[in-house]
Amino acid sequence: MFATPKVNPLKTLWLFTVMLALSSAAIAQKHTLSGYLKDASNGEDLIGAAVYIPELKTGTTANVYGFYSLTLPAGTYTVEFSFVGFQKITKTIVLDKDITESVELETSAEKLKEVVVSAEREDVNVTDVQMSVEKISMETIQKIPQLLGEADVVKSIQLRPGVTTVGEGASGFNVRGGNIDQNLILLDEAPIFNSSHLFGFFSTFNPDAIKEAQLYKGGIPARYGGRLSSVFDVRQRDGNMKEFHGQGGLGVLFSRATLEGPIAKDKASFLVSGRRSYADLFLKLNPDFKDNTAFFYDLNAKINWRINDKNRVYLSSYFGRDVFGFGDAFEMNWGNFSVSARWNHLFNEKLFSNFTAFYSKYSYSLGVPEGTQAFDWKSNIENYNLKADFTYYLNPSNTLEFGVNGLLYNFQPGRAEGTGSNSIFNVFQVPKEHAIEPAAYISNEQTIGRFTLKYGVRYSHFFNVGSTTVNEYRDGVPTEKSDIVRQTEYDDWERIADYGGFEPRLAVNYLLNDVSSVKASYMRTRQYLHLVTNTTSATPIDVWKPAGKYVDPATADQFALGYFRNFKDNTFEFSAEAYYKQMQNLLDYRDGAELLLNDNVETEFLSGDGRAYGLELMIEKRKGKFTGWIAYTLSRSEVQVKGFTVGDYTDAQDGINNGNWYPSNWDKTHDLTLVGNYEFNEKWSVSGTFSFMTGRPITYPEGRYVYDRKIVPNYNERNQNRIPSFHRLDLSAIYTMPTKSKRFESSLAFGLYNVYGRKNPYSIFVRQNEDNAVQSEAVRLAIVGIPVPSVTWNFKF
Amino acid sequence: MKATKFLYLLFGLILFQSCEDVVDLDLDDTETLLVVEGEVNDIDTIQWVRLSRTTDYFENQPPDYTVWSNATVNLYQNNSLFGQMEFNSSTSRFEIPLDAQIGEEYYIRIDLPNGKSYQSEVETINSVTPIDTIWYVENTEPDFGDETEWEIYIESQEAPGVGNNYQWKVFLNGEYQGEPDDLSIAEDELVDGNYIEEFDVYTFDQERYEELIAQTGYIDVVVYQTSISRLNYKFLLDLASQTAFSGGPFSPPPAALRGNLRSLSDEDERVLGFFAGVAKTQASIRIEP
Repeated sequence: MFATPKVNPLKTLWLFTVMLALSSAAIAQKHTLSGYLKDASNGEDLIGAAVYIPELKTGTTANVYGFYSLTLPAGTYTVEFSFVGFQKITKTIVLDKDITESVELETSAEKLKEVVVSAEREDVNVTDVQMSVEKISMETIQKIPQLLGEADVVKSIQLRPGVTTVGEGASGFNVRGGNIDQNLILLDEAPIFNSSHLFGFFSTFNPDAIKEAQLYKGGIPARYGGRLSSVFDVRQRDGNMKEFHGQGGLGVLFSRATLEGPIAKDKASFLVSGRRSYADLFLKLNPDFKDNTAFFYDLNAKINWRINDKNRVYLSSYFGRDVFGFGDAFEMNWGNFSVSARWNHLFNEKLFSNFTAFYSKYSYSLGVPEGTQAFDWKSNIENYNLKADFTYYLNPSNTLEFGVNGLLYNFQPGRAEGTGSNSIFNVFQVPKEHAIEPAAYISNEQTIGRFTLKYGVRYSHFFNVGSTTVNEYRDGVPTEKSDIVRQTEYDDWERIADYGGFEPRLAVNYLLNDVSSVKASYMRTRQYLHLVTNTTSATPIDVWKPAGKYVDPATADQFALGYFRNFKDNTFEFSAEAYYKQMQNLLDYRDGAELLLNDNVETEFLSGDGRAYGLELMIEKRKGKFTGWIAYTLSRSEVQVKGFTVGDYTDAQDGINNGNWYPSNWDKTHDLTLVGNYEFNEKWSVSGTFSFMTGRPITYPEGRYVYDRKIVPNYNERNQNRIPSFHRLDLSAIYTMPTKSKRFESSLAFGLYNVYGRKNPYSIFVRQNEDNAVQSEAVRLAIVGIPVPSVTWNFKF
Repeated sequence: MKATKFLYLLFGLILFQSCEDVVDLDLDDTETLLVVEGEVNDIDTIQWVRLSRTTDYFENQPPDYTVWSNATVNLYQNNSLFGQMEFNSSTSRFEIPLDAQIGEEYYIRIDLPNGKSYQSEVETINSVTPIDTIWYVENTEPDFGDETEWEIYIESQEAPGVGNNYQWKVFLNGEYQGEPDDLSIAEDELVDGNYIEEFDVYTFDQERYEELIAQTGYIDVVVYQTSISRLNYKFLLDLASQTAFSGGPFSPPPAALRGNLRSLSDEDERVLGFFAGVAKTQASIRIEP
């Protein structure tokens, strides 16, 4: 018989003390290897590039500023610096003290002979704890066929699973059943409130100026906050640190030009990039339209200064505008302006920081310039931000992120006034609103054997403050205008309402083996701003409404579970993700809501809940002459808006559809996308995309009646029907033109959008026949109902 | 506001590539609902109400205004029964002689032979300012297109005090211009108390001009400026958005119109239409070649 050993508390304590001492001794002998990873050809940061120590089978990746840090036991190591499409560099490093090792990687010969559609290390989809993230390289985006041949970051991301729109040419996008206002769209960390030109046909992002675009659909890191459903993080290129270069294009609709180069070689660089459409120039050729104007433009500019190894400064700006004018009858313009200043500071080899200040503004103006009905109507939202983000590379197993953030919002919902001496219009001002949103977060990414955990929490608070005027209602809730009993004036910074809460974030990755993993994530998100829009597609004149006395912030909880598997040396990537999202306090509207220039707009609101769930499958081939992916999403997105009664007010008692769940406007059961690109040779490549999706929900009439001699459709419950399914094939071919110059290269991009000319219905609506007042008819509206060819000439020098 | 029309035009421009075609659409059969249309105004001596019911959407027949000819329709004035309206088979309307007055309140109650009863909200007749001037312009260089347009203008004083709502109805040679996009309404929030100059109340094209001139040799234009209640304004605004501006990417979603009638028998039963109390003023002009 063996005797059971007795546990001696004193001995246990002694052993623990020894272990701690040994551990401390080990810590004392550790040193940090850190630095930046850059592209040798232009000095651009290599976001996500890998640093790997074969002896320890450990490593890390560069952050969004190209910085990496690894703390290891003292010793001599082989260190591999690698990035897909670049030659691996291997160095032997004697780590007997903290060492800074910045590395520039050369483009690999492999990249020259075959396509590698990646902007990150090969197996990141399996090994990284982050799930529900979509990233397409700018190289791929340039090849995806688009309307009129214009490469588009936002339209391209819509080809990934879980991302949809309400229809062709619609503004914004919907992520996992969320509304378009639930996406935080960032350009160099500054929010872009309207990401569309020409009402949604093109995005505000000039692809020549963009380095990287990444969409987080779930498991959003704690450093991001403010929107329920996604973060679309777009980074501008820094500008070439080595040589002066330019690129551009001449397309059917607009032209692009970009210049970049060193201000001081390897120290400072600049980038300026612009686009302008020129449809208006053709209008002038037609005498009937010669006084009309219709164009858009945008300008990206960036300066990047490496002060020294510990300090780096970026200054970037975006300005874009759409302009329309019809002689002296009507004019309108809208657009975004943002400027951000960032300072990267390395406190020490382990503590990386980024301080950001930005200003962002979306504004629009419209009016009639002359005559008795002359008026000017303006609206805008301004956003000031100060934030500090820190990354502490505690050890190879733990990376700590923490930071603080402060936002100030100014809302100008609308001001209209007559202009000129004989205008019939008075001044009308919807009260301005102001808000402050401080936030703080902390999270840690920890590796424990095959597990990688990322856990953190964000706390945000939102103060709706004066000065402004707030309507007070008879029963304390906004019922109707006639129930306003008084207005309360609030002084500058006086609190009107405030909301706050914790947003836990959790992600887990379990590596099944070297090529497959299972991931899970949970996130709670809070959103304090709502886009007030009641149309199928958002318009440029929609306004943002902050949480306040009568509007609660929206919250969402999302769970996701995924399986990730790579095949054939990471040539193929497969992923399957299932998600469930529950949303509270979503803003909805009463039937017939008047949302513009309404100083009691809160009477038009209803509050509802949402739920979305789905399964996303994707397989992608990332190497070889043929690349592309197949993505399929099976999903459901529903809304429930219950009614309310207060006092003798019963108009809203039924809510929407009697308070029952109903499909949201962007609910699409099946969504299948096929994207392919084939490189025939160095001169020719062809690409194609095919999309199929279930038609969106729509409301058809249950009958008709006549009132005031007009045929009126009799509608009942919302979104109980669906338009027919959508499918479309687009093709493109790129011909790289032969040149003897080593400095200049150019290509022609041929495109055919909607190859077989399908009239995909954007909507089907009913109306009274124009010629026969007793006849009613159903009409299919197709936004692009014909094949649209295009050719674009692109150049680089 | 003129801007609204321009906004829709502007948004419509993006559809330059788009195409519309008439398609077949299968719709479910549904319940039949009562439809009410009625008006009490201060210038006519006969006040009226029309009853009909909803039909299948593609039943391309005029409404049957006789279907409830045996209904009982009572008109109430200032909360007292004024009288029972009689069905006039020649006009297919329930009618009653009455000189309605500004400031008076009216509502109706409808009792159908099937035992169901309905009642409207109370409508008050609010005064309306006169049209001071009316004229027309032959515009050979319109803002859009190259076809000559005939524009009817009026001028009028807007009564001080926010809360006035208006509807304009135009008759050409006695024919009411009742197409969905002919609906012309406004609220006074942006123009309160101002003198409204050069208000383009109605426009028709050269083809219509030639058609009318060919019929009579002239065009008599009559414009009614009408004061309507706030509820009526919202009803007509929804009517416009659901008939004239529906279907596009920037159109409001399809929705039931909320009138001012309710069922007394079943609170869940929907009743469609509106019973309006209005004041009217008119101006006219003749267009001759």
